[in-house]
Amino acid sequence: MNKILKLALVLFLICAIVAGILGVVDLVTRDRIKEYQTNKTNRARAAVLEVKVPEGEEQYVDIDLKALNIPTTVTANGQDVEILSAAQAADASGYVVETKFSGAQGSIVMIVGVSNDFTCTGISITQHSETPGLGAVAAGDTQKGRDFRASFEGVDGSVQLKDIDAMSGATITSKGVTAATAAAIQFVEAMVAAK
Amino acid sequence: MNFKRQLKEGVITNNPILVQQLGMCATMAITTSLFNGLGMGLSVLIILTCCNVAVSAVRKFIPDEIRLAIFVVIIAGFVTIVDLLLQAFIPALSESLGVFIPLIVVNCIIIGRAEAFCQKNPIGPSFVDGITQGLGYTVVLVIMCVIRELLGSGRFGGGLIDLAKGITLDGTGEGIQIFNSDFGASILTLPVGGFLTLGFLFAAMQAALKKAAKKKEAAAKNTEKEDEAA
Repeated sequence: MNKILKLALVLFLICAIVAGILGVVDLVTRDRIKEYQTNKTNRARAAVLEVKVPEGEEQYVDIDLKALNIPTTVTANGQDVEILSAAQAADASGYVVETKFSGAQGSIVMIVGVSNDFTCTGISITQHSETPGLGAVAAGDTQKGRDFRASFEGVDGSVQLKDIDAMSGATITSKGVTAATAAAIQFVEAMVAAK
Repeated sequence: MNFKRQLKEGVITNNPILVQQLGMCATMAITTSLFNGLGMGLSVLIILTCCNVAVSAVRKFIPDEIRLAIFVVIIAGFVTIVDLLLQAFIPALSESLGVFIPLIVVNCIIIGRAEAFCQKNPIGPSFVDGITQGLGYTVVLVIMCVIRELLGSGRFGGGLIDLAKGITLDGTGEGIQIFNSDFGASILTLPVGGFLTLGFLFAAMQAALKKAAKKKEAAAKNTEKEDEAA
């Protein structure tokens, strides 16, 4: 009995020390990581929908999803897409919708720009854990990735996999991105109709 | 602690990938561009060295029954530290390697060296072992990246080198296009290509080791004959 207690104590001590060190590292890096993520979201929003407002003013006005009373999970092309946030461009040129959906290796968070006539103005992936060289190309800065994202511009809420330039070897990712784009547009349609 | 001998072992005769055949999963998945390969190799080198030193430092206090659990806790701790630091200071690498950084926790090289070497050796040799094994790992990753990128898409130094910007530490370098990517065997850029390239590297290493062993045998026989003649 004593031996087991001693083993448990040693294991507990080592875990506590490691956890303590991790806590310190987290304190040091937390703000930088958050700042990077926020900048990334803002840059992603600007990449999908350009907003012309005077320098220094709010570019996007966040919409309170709970006050809207419409479902924040949209099923498009047979896939469930969660709407994380939505904002309207300050110059009323359209909307930016943050979506979360299943990729090939976990969840993908993507921002979709939707114009006032319910077509896609652009997409930008902000978080993912897809395979480098395959699904990750959708988020990357290679020509292949840019071509893939560009093929979504101008599509409407009924977009299917066959309408866009899917990535070979990354069908699940391509399907997910397509479903999320359709879902974002359908959500904006529902949102505008509900107002 | 013989640095030269450990270096030769780590990079050639006991290479973690080509001889010990550990940590192959990440090797095949990551080596699609030089930026990824170098970044991953250096991350593993740092984590391996830190873990080696930590395990060696506490080896006299760890009860034998729970040593594997403690190894895993230490390794997971260091991997998380490196993951957080990369996310904060080199976010491009963190995004590029993605899920493969947390996967270093289960990279067999690290727990293999902890079990096979560090729990029986003092801190100094363990530190050197981490560096040399990490170097061996990085060298193989770089070789695989160069082969796969060059033969697969005609490119060298993807993500790291840019003709206009020099060396890009943020992963945006386009690489040097040696020949048109249409003439590349693009199967090499897919995971299948990783398997194939690694297989050929295994064969090359085995051939080289056999040759070296034969040479040693022949040299030993010669000295035997000389001794008899003398």
